[in-house]
Amino acid sequence: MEKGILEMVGGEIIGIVSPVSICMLLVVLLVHTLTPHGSSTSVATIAMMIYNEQPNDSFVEKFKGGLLNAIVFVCIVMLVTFVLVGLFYFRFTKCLRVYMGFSAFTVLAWMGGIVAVELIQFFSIPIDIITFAICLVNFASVGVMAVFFCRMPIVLIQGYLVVIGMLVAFWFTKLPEWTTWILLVAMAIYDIVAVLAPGGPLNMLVELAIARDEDIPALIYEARPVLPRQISGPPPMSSSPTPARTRRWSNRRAPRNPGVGRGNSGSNSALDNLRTSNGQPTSLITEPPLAPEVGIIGSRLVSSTGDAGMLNSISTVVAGHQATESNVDEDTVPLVSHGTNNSSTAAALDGMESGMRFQGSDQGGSESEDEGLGLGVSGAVKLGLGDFIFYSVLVGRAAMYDLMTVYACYLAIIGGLGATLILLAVWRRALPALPISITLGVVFYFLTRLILDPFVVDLATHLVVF
Amino acid sequence: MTGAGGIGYALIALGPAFSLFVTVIASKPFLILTVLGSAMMWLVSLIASGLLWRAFLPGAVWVFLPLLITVVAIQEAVRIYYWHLYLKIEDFLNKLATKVSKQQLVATDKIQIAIASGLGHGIAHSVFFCLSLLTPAFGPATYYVDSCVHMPLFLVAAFTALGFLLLHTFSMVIAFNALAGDKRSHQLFVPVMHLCAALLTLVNLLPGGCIAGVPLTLMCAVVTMAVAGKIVWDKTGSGSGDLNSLHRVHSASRL
Repeated sequence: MEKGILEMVGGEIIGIVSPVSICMLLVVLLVHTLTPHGSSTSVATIAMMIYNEQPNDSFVEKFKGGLLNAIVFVCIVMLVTFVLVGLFYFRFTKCLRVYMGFSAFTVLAWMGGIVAVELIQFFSIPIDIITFAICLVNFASVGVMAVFFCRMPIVLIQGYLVVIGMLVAFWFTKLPEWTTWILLVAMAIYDIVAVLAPGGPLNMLVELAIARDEDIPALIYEARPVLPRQISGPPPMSSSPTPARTRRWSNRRAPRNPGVGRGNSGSNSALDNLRTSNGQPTSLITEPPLAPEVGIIGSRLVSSTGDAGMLNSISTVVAGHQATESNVDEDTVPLVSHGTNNSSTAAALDGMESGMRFQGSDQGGSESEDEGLGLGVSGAVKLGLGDFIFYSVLVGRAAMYDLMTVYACYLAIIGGLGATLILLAVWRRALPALPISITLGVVFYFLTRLILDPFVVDLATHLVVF
Repeated sequence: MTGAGGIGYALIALGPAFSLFVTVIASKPFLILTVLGSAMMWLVSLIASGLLWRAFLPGAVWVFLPLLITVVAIQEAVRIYYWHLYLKIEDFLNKLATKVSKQQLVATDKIQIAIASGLGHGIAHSVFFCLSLLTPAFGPATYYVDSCVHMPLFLVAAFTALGFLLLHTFSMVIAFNALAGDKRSHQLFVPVMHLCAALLTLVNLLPGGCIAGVPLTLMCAVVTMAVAGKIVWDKTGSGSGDLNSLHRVHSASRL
């Protein structure tokens, strides 16, 4: 059956919307089972250094306290990002990698362990401590190795990244309510500044990486290309001029649990090095960009769009580009890379890579050949883990009120994500990915909670619908 | 009424939507995006209606009549706006198709996009009017509304949501077809049917009314389905009645 245009468009967007949705669903499930009305015990975290919110404080006090907390948090995140930029500048990549591996292990073992214990208590699962310890340590080790060091089935890597995002997001939902909302808004604003302002840390990081053509150590979720490439070309390796040092937005580290006070985020640099040292082109960028790249720092979406990919198609049609036949056929697609911000703690900063980079099409069309190797740069979308985390935090916090807010915020976030992608394709410059989604999410949350909930419930209990 | 009950209600409200999704939509990413997009538009129209009428609820019973009329009017206006958006997207897709030397959109494609859009509206409706109420249904007890002692609230809500889901889905198909072909009768059919279905739910306000209200809603849905089915049947060429004609390969029988 001949494939029509409808099957080809939009695959990569779905490839990134699905894991985001799964992460949000898992966080909502966790929140709904374990802490349906917010955490009863306040968690001592960096985000609450200044002000510990009590339930019976006044409105103004809560607001001011939340604001202070958020400002402190953003400052720490910014500091850590600068530290990361410094480390990257002085080429302490090993240090970054070890640190990120350690962070990921801590997230999976410590936070994962706590969540597992809470679940075991809730469901009264009979399990002994020895089995539990062995399982947990194995789980965490495999996770660290999958994300950073070894080649594993992509599903496993994606699964572990989603789990890391879920755990950190769940930890963040333990923050008190006002602090959470103000923190989300503050992070969105920080994202804009860090990415668009010339002196922003993420901006500098991206430029450094571009200048050196290196990977940035960070935790990035990478989706598999969806469309089977119909053009087969020469193997990517032969066509890719610099297989060893491809620029690649690697994994960002997962934000670290604030309570621990350490940064987490593993760097992919180790993994990148391993991969590139194998001589295989990484699935991210495989050749130096021919056109100036546009990067978005912060939560970035990295995507390479296929020949009929949504982003490419939007940009080509909207901008009226005349894609040459060879370009289109060879599936050279602007690569948008997106690192996510981890802003959990200072440590999270090294994970903050952001940027949507838009790479010019490569004449070599090496992306298409990746398909043959199963790596498939083309059509692979990458999203930084920080985005996962903040979206899930928003939805998790909405779940503490009611499921209706969850649905509304989910639609808002997905809409914001889509809008960001489209803006990226149209403007072709670095754009932060957090702000639109977070803004829409917060607006929809409050609209739903204050207006829609009473409206719909009143109608439905009278059995009047439209 | 425990987990089984809760899941049962959810499946009543969303089962057909789920099967439609899996068979028609899940294999095409663009349609999934269409579902999400149209769900979001429906949500925006719902919020707009809520903003308008929030001050009046909870209030007197007579408020429901003007409320329903205005809300249905808002939703139909959104449908027309959505149609204009769809025209732009169709244009864009066709341009893209020529660029990558693929076939342009054929009739089944357009029908699928219409189904996806309608499904987005329908799923959003079901989720907000039924699923979000179902959280207590997973507990040990159930709840009856005063005006309806025959069926639990959840059951009535589930059936009504099912009816409206089918109504939204297929009225979008009819609307797309009517607006494209500029058929007045069908263009009027959609808002009128929507308004009828909404007003018929007012029957539920009467004591014991839900006995009549639920079947009436479902009947509206069936009528809409029949009309949509007839349109699709005519469009894809009733002469070649086999399924092959619906596949892309036989493009000659298209349009």
